[in-house]
Amino acid sequence: MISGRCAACKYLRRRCPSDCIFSPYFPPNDPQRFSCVHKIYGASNVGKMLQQLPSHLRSQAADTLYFEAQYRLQDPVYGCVGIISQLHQQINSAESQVAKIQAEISFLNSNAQEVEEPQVDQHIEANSTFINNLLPEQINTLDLSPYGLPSTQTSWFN
Amino acid sequence: MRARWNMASSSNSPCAACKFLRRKCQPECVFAPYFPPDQPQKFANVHKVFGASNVTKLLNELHPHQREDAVNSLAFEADMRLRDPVYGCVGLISVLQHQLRQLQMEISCAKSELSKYQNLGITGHGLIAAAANNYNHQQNLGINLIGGGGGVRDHHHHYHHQFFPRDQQQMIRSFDGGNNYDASLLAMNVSANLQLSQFPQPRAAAGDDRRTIDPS
Repeated sequence: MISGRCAACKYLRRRCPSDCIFSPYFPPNDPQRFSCVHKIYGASNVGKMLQQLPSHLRSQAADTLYFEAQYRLQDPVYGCVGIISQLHQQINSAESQVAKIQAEISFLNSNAQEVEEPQVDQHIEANSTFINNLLPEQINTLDLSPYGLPSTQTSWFN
Repeated sequence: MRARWNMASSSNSPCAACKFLRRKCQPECVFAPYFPPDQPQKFANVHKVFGASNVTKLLNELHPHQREDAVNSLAFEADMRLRDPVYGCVGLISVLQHQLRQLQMEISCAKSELSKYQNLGITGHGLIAAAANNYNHQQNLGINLIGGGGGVRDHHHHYHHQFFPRDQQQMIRSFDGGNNYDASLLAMNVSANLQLSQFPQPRAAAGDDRRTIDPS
C-alpha cells in the first residue's frame, strides 16, 4: 500500500486512501507537481477546490492550478498575471498596427479613386472613420485597474 | 470598557485580514498595508484560494516595495479562480492569446492588401510624409507609376525598390520606421503557446458553463 501512494500523500506522509482526492491528478512519478501546488495553495485549499468540482473537470483544474503555481514560483511578485499584462500590451500594440495599416490602405484606396492631375497645394486628409469599426469588441474587456496592476513590471521570461 | 476590536496599538481599525481572522491587528501586521478594512472581499478571496499562512510566507520573502504588487496580483488570481474554478487565470490567458492571434491574422491580411497597392506602384509613405510636412513641391504627389517617379524623395525611392518584397514584414518595417514589433509579438505568442498547448481552448470568454459547481 505504501508503494501505491500518490505524490500528495507521499509528500504529506500519510496513508493514501482509495478515494484520495489528489490521487488521480498527482501521480507518484511527478512529485514536483504536488510540491509546487502545495507551496502556493496548500494541500487543504487544493483539496477543497477539487472537491467542489464535478469529477470530469478536476483534471483540468489540477493542471491549471499547477500552471499558475509554477508561474508564481518563477515570479513571486506577479505570477501569471504578468503574462496577462503582457498580452494586454501586445494586443494594444497589435490593434494600433492594424489601425495604422488599414488607415494607409484606406488612404491609398481613396487616393487611387480620385486621381487626377496632381495639384501643388493639395490638402490630403486620411480617412479614419472606419477604424472604430475594425477594432475587435471583446479586446480588453477585463478591467485590471481595481487590482492596481502597474504598467511595467518584471517579466517572467527575462 | 475598552472596545478591543477598535483599539489596535496604532489606534486604527484592524485591517481586513485581522478582521477576517478575528485577531488583534498588530502595528507590524504584514497584511495591514495591503488589505485595508474597507475591502473585506479582497482578503476573503485571497484567503479562500491561497490561505493566510501561504500569503504571509510569500510576502515575507519579498522586498517591502514588491509586496503591494504581489498582493494585488494574488487578489486578481484569487478572483479569477473563484469566478472560474476550473481554469482560473489560465482561461483568461487563453482568451487573450486567441485575440492576439486574430489580430496577427488581421495584420497579415492588411499587409497583404497593402502590398497590392505597392505592386501597382501606389505608395503612401511619401504621400503621407508630404502631407504632414506641407509638401508642395512634388509634382508626383499622387500615384507613382511603376518605374516612374521622377523627382521622388530618397526614402520614397527606397520604398519603390521593394515592389516585389519577399518578406512583407520587412516591407512594413521600412514603412513604419523599422520597429521589431512582429518578431517580439510572434516570440511572445509562441512561447506562451507552448505552455498552454495542453489546455483546450475555453469555448467562451466568460465560460459560464464551467462555473457550475456540483455541490456534492
